[in-house]
Amino acid sequence: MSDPVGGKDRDAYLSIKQISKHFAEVKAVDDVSLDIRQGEFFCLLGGSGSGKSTLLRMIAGLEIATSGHIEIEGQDITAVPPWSRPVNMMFQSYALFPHMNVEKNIAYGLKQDGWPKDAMAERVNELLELVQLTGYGGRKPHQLSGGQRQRVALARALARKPKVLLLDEPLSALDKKLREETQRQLLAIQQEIGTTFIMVTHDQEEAMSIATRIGVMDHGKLVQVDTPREMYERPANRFIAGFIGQVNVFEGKVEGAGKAQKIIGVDTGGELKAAEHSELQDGSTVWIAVRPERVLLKTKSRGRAAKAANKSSGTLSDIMYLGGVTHLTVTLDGGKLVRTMISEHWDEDEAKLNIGDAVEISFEQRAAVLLDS
Amino acid sequence: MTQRLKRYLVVIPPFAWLLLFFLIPFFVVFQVSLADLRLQRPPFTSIFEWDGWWPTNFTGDLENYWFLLEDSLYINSYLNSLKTAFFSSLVCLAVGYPIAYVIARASPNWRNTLLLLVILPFWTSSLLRIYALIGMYSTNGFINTTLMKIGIISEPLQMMNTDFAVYSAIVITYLPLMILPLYATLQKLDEDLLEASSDLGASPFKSFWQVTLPLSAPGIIAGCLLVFIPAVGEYVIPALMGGPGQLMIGKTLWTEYFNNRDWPLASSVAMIMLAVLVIPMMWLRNAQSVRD
Repeated sequence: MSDPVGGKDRDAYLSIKQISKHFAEVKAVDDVSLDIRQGEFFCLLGGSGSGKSTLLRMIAGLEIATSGHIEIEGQDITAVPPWSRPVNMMFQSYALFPHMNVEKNIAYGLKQDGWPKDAMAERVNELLELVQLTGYGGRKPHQLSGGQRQRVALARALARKPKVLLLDEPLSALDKKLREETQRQLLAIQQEIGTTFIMVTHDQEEAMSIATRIGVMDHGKLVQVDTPREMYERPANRFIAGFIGQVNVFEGKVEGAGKAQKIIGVDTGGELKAAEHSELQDGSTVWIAVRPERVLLKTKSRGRAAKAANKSSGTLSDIMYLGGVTHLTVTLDGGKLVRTMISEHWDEDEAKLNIGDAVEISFEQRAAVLLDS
Repeated sequence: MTQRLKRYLVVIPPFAWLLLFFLIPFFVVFQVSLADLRLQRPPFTSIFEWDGWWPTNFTGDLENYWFLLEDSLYINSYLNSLKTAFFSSLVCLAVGYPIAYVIARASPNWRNTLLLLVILPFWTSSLLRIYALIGMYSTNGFINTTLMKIGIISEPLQMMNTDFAVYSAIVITYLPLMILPLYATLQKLDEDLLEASSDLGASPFKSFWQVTLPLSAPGIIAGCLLVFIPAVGEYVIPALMGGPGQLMIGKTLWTEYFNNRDWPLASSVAMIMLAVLVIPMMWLRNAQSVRD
């Protein structure tokens, strides 16, 4: 039953079970299972067309699943229409009602639930305060800035105290500076009210910086679910490794079996050693992923060829100074490009690096992750 | 300088057109409405004499307008026209809204076909369409003979020269003018808003009342005006299909001009009709611009 990716969770609050959505021939979401805990800030991360938004819309009930189930607190809501689900969604376009002012927009959900007038006004004020828009209640949406509209949309989606708040690329319409500020606000609000948030985004930095856990989707499949740190340190495959941050991937061939088993780098020629791996099939192809900041760079020591494991020589082909960090690109003798970076103070030797210098790269065994796909 | 000249060249033709074919005729009719009837050609007195380039000896008066107020025939014609136009607009709205809604929600391939079907009747002369309706409605027309053949009725129904005939003909004639502006606003309606409404707990029915309907108000107003205004002055339909007792202002106007040959009175009828239509419209426009 349980999917190896989503995993079964005893504290599951929202449980997605083998859900699929097919549009004609296209499998937008393909057999996804996922458990989300109460109070989590979960990010669904993926490129366009990966199925992340469709999955979110199925949780909201705006898209009907082709097969599978969705449960909240153990209750199957698969067949419940969107207007009766205990979830609310914040739309990418914000979808504020243009003919209503801010107050009426926020109160819309409460009105549908038949709240008494006094309680409704009180709740609206509470929410305006939460999103720092006190005094803006009488404005129409078109009289607000993009950031303000975004906050009204958030307040409106939170008004009915949903069990799960769904956010569909809530920050994509904001410029970079405002987006970072809003990320912090969103996280602060989520921590204040403790509601379970599920956010869809295509921005891996955004996901890394606010999510408690990330689920990466690709071609309708959920590829990996993990905390941001685990996702970065132990990506499940080359796709994830390349999607979350930058990475150097070295192709390797497995030689021998048992104790004598070795992985020989296709580009480096030397042996590659990863942090951990079980026994591999002789002759199979594997990949070793190393983050640029874990690649060490040295000017080449004269006369000695690099024969040790996880070591290779090449020439420095690019230096990009970015202030706090400097990105360096090394072209290995075999032609492969390897990225590395120096972030702290430069020491004297490194400061003298020039394009074209012969250098030696290396990485520690514990910095290398073995990937079999 | 040349920039300004070019701008004038662009602006002048439409203004000249309006001046020549709208403003000057308007003042001619207005002047006739102030004159008196006489049995000559033209059949009205001149309300001033020319002294070189200057009009003098102004003799016009509002006598014709007073006469309109005294004779209940005219007031009844106006009221009946407004009533007919009002209810025809309502029926058009009730019939046109669902049609416009379905077209706006249809898949893009279907949309153009359906729109074409709505516009298609406009490609035939409206007079032809009215004669076709007469062929349907008359005592031995299509509807009566069919119903009698099936055996639902034994005596032919009186449909011609009734309110039903006039109303249904106006609705059928003007329905596209209602559907097109409604379609335009409904088609622009953001689907996200309906999803948001449904997500916030509103059933589709509630969403329609709280989101779709208020947001299509501009289309409703435009459609109603497009039907109401020509329907008030409609002449052909009441003349060909209405009963003899059915007074409508278009018909009264015709009678005054061509049967009674009382041009001054007919002109004042036309002036009042224009005022009845233009003043509420200006008020509505004003109210709308204040609201925005």
